[in-house]
Amino acid sequence: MNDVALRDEDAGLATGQGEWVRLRLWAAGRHASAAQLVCRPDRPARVVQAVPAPEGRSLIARGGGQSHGDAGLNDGGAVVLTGRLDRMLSFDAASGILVAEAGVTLGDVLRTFLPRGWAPAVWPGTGLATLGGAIATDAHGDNHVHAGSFGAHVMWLELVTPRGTLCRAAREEAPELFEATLGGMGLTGIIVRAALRLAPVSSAFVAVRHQAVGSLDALLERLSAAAAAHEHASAWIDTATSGLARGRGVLQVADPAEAPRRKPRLWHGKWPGPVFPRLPNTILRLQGERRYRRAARPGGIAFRWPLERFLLEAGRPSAVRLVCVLPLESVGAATRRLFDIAERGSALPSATARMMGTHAGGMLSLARPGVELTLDLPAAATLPDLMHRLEREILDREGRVALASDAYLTDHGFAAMYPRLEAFRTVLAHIDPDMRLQSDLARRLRLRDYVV
Amino acid sequence: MAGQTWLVLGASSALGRAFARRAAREGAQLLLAGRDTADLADMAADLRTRFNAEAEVLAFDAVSPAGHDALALRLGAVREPNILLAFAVMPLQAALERRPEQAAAVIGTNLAGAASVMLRLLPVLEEKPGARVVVIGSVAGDRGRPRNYVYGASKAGLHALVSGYRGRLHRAGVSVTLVKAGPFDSGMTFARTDLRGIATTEAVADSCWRAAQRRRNVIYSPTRWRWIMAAVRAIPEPLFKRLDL
Repeated sequence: MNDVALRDEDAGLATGQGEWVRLRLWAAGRHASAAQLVCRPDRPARVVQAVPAPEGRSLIARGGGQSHGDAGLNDGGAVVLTGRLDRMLSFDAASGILVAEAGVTLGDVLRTFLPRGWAPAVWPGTGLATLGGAIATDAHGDNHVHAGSFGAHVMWLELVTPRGTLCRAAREEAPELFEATLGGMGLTGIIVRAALRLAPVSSAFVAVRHQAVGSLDALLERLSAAAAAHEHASAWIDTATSGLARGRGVLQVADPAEAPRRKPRLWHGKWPGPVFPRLPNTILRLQGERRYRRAARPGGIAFRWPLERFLLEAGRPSAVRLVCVLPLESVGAATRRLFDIAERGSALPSATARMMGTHAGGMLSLARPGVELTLDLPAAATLPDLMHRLEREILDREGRVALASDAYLTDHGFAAMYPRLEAFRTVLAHIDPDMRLQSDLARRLRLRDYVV
Repeated sequence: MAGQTWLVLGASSALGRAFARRAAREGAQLLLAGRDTADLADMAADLRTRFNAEAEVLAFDAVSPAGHDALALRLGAVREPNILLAFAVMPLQAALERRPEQAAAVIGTNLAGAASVMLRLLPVLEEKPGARVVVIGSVAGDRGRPRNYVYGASKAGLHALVSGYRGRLHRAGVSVTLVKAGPFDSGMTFARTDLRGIATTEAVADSCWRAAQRRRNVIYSPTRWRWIMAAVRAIPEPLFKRLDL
């Protein structure tokens, strides 16, 4: 074994026990961490060699590590980093289909193909997310009403199953495995290659508009209309004000546009705003006030930005993030309740909202019609308790918490929120009977506690 | 700059890949040589997809000199060839001390393999004024340390080899660049560091590319290792042997 590894010119990776290294990995907000064995294969053949993990450990794949939760962590187990599976294998300029390895980041795809007039149809908010990660979380962006989730643009994928075989899944070929893998949080196997259909872009610039709206109900109503009318639409909600003004916010819409005549001013880049976890509430209040007033000028703020900059612009990761979908009927009341609960837990959230359409690709996909609410919370001592109260409220309103960023959901809450869980477990029981794939998330949600 | 042709020996290595991309971005044509030709085919597809670059796959194994003739033949057909030597193995020192016979394999690949292929390509390069050769050395070759001395010895030998090779080819108008690489984020170092505060492969590939374009003789990459190694070399031996560096 060792001799083979030695003669390998770039030995050191995934050819035997020696290539696993003990590492502590962190979630995006550095709120959760776990120590595990880690390897970083640089070609699909070596991913196959990494399964099963050494010492009978459980295994999970990890892409860009952009999850705020514990989906890419496996305490005491093993993790396969896919970052070195970064080759783009082919691109068909007629259909826009890109075949690439799973560790290719979406920022990489954007920078490579934007000059040729193509871009990922769904943009999950960070360029550091990988293709495999976006598939495993069935990511979505601020154009979900039009484009659906990320999985809708995946033509096929190849994954290394827990048994260590390379397997191809598509809508026509192994459809159950395909549906389970979209949004399956990496529990069906390690994705090594996928075909992604890119969307043609008419212009490399977007016209962005910010418009202040004075109350939460009006803001959500405007957001709902804007999502249908514009390419990108999202809303920032001011949670720091009190009284009647609470829930006012700024609506952002963006559409493809001609290049501006003058050089674009790039200092508008405060959206969706960096979150400073330990900032006192007074400063948050002042920041919110400033942002609201700037957008409250007649006509709001309008500017043109390069599309690349618009998409890659991301706020600093907060400590804890709660992403949930709330049904449209009760969203206003539910949002107010969530803010109240958070404030009583002395954790003032920073909140953004986006519309969500009907498309649901995978068995554990987040998507359902409604409003997707993102709450960025500071780390606080009472956090688990607070998160559970928020979860109960969301559950009562028939909402759903996103797994991709989640670190606190309980197993019974999870089971109540995801109606297709049983179908997912059936697929898992079939493909992974030995329970070789596990993550901290799967353990916490008791995803693998199925009865065959 | 456009139209350069680069032969990358060890193109599956992290640095080989990063350098191939760096060169393809500048419009170069790539000849990817290594043992895992299936993987190299993927890499060639990547260069075609990303940069619309021409890329060709060649089978190459440093420790089987029989195949080196074919390489020389292929390179002879290129008008102005450039070569990057980016293959090496680095087992843990402790593993070598347990199985001393592996030490021969380290030197066989890093030094004897390099010498074999470089000498085989010598007659070709003599005919190609303007060619560039870049060899990846290591800061470990500047002074042997208990932690890594077999690998260090192979690289020290390589440094001497490159120095002589540079003089040999100077009259022929061929530049030979030695890049003494400090630890960077490759397959070799992955198991030994915790990935923090380590230079990226892309940065090292970029300095290799720029050094080749400027026909430098010896560079350190990342640059700070020039000063670090100057300090390490200056430590007197009676003190050095007591240190655990």
